[in-house]
Amino acid sequence: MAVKKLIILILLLSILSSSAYAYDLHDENIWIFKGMYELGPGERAELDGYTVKVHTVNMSSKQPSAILLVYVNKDFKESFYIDTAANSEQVYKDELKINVLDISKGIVSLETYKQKFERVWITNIPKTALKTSDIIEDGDYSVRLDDITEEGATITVMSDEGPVEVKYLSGDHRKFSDEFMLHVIYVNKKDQEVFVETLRTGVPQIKTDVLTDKSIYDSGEKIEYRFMLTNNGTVPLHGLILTTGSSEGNVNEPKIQSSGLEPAKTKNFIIPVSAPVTPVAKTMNIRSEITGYDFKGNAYSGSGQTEVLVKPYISVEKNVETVEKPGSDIEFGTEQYFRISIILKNTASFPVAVTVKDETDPSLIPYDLKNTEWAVMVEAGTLKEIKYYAKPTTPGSFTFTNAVVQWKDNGETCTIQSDPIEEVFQIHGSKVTVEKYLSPGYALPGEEIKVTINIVNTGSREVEAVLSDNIPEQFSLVSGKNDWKGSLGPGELKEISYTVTTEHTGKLELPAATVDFINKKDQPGSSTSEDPVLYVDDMTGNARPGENEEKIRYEEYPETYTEQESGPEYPAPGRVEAAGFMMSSFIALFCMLALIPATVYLYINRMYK
Amino acid sequence: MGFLALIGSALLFVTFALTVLFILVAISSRLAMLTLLIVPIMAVIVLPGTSLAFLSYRHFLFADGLVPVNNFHILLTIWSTLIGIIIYTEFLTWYLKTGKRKRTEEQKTESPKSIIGKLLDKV
Repeated sequence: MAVKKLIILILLLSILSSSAYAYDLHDENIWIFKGMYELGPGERAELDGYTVKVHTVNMSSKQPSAILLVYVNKDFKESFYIDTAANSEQVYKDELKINVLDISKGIVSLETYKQKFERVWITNIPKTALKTSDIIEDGDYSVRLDDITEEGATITVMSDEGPVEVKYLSGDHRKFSDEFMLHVIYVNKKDQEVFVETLRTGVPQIKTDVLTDKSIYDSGEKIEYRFMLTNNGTVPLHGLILTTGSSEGNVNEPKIQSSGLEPAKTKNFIIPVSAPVTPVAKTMNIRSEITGYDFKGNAYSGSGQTEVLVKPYISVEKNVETVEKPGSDIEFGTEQYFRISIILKNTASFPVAVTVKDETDPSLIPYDLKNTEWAVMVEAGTLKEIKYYAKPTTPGSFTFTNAVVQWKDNGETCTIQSDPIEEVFQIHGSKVTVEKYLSPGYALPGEEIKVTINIVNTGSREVEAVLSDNIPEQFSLVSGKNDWKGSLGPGELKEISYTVTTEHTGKLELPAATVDFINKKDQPGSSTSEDPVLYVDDMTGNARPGENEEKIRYEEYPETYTEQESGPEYPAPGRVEAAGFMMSSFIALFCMLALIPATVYLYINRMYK
Repeated sequence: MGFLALIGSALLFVTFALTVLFILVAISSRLAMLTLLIVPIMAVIVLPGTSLAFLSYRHFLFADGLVPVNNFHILLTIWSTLIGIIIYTEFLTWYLKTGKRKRTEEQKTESPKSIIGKLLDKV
C-alpha cells in the first residue's frame, strides 16, 4: 500500500514539475559572447569558472597551430588542437565555444562563447486586450486580431516582410525575427477577446563614472583611481575590457578584463596609478575606456576621465603665529612677536638643495638673522623645518607674503611659493608719534612764528603722556604753552601750539619735542620729533635756504631799522659794496641785451664795407 | 600798509622810467642810459640805509614764501626794459642812417637826436 502511494506521489510530482523545467519565454539558450583575447604561450583567460590557457604555439609548420587547455574551476578537463582552418572552432561539452581568429607571432587571437539561458526578450507592449479587427502597433510591426474560433485566435502580424497569419491558443508565442516576438497570453472565446503582449530583444546601456580619492597629489604618490561601470540596459554585458591611460605618471594595470555585468548592476574597478615625479606642478589626465558585448557580439563602449593636480616634489608650507612677550620686554612698545615656520617637504627619491627666501615687512626685525634667506638640503622623502622669530617695531596690523623656494632641476631653475597667508595679525602695544613743525618756515625778523606739536597715539593701548619742549634763547614766547600732560586713547591726536618770535636771522634750528609715556601696564616709552628749521630773512636777500648756511650774515641799516640789533661779530657791507653790486647788475643786464644788436651791427658793417 | 607801500614804490619807479624815456626822446640816448645807471647808484651811495631798505622792501611772496619779490627785483626789471629800449633805438637809428647814406651817396651831418626824437619833431 505504501509503495502504491509512493508511486502515485512520484507520478504527480513528475507531472507538476515538468512545466517548471521549461525556461521562461524571455530567455534563450544561446552562445553568449564572453570576450576576445590575445594569448601567448602560458597565458590564460578567465571566464566565470572556466579557464582557457594556451599551452603551446607551433609556428614552424605552414599552418600555425596551438594547443589549448580548458580548466573548470581550476581543474584540467580537456585539451584542444586548434588552427585557423578546419580546427578553428572547438566546443567543450556544449558549454564553452572557442573560435580562433588568428595565430601569428606566437599569439593566439580567439573569441569565447558560453552557452547559457539568458534573458533576451524584454516586454515592450505589456498585456493588451484585442477585439476582432483591433490593431496594435509596435514599431515596424502591426498586430491585428482577425477572428476567434473554437480552434483558437487568428492573428495577423504585418511587417516589412509582409503579413503572417497564424492561429494561436492561450500561452502561444511566436518570433518573427531576431527582434520581435508576439505572446498570446489568453484567448477568451466567450467574450471574443485576446490578451497579447509584444517583446523585443533588449540592449545593454553603459554608464561610467570616475573618481579619485583626492584632487591634489604629491609627486610620486599613489592615486586611488576608481572606474565605476553601470549597466542601465535590459540585458547583460559580456567580455568587458577596461583600458586605462594617463598623460603623466604610470598606470599599473593599463588593461583589465571582466566577464560581464548584469542589468542594473554596478561594477567598481580600482586601478592603481602613480603620480609622476615632477619639479613643477602638473595637471594629470587619467582616461579609461570600457568595451563590452551583448549576447549577439555587438560591441558597446563608454569612457570616463578625470584630472588631478600633481604638486612638485618640493613643497613648502609657511605658518605664522604670534607669541606674547614677557612683561619685562618693553622693546619697541609691542606686546607680541612672531614665530614663523617654513616647512619644506621632498617627496622625490633624491636629495634636493634649495634656496628659501622669505620677505618680511620692513617694520619686522628677525631675531639673530642678517636676512631671511637660507640654503638648505632636503633629503629624499623627508621634511625640513626652518623656524625663526621676528620682532615688530611698531604696533599695528601685519600681513605676510609667501615664502619662495628655488632649486635646480636638470639645469633649469624651479620656483614654488607657499600658499598665501590670508590672516591679518594684530600686534598690540603702545606707541606715540610726535611731529613738530613751524608756520611759516621762512620769516622776517620779528615776525610771529606758530609752532605746532602733534602728539598721536598710534598704538592700541591708552597711555599717559608728558610733553617736553624747549624754546631756545634767541626765541621769545608770544602766546600759548609749550608743555602738556594727559592721557591719549588709541588713535587719539593732541595738538599743542604756541607762537614765538625772534630777531635773529639765518637758519635757526628749534629743538625736537619729546613725549614720554607710560601705559596701563606701567611700561614706559618715549618718542621724539624731528628738529624743525626756520629761515629768517636778513632783509638784503643774501640769506637763502641752503645757501651759505654756516655763514649767514645780515646787515644793519640804522636809518630805518633801528630795532635790528646786529651782532658785532658780523661786519656790515658798506655803500661801496652795495653800489658795486648794483653796478655789476646793470653791466650784466646791458651786456645781455646788447649782445644781439652788437652782433648784427658787426655783421652789417662788414657787409656794407 | 603793504598796499600803500606798493603804490608808493610804483609811483617812484614810474617817475624814474618816464624821466629816462623823456631824456631818451628829448635829449640823448647816452644820457638816458647814464641816468638809468647813476640815479639808483647815487641813491645807494648817498643814502645807503634808506635806499637799501627801499630796495629790499618785500611786496609779494610766491611759491609758499620761497620766491620773494621786492623793490630791487622791480628795479632790475625796469633796468632791463629800458636798457633794451635804448640799445635797440640806437641800433635802429644807426641802421636806417647807414642805409640812406648808401643810397644817396651823400654825407650829411647827423643830429644827435634819435630817430624817435626826429619823428616827434615832425609831428
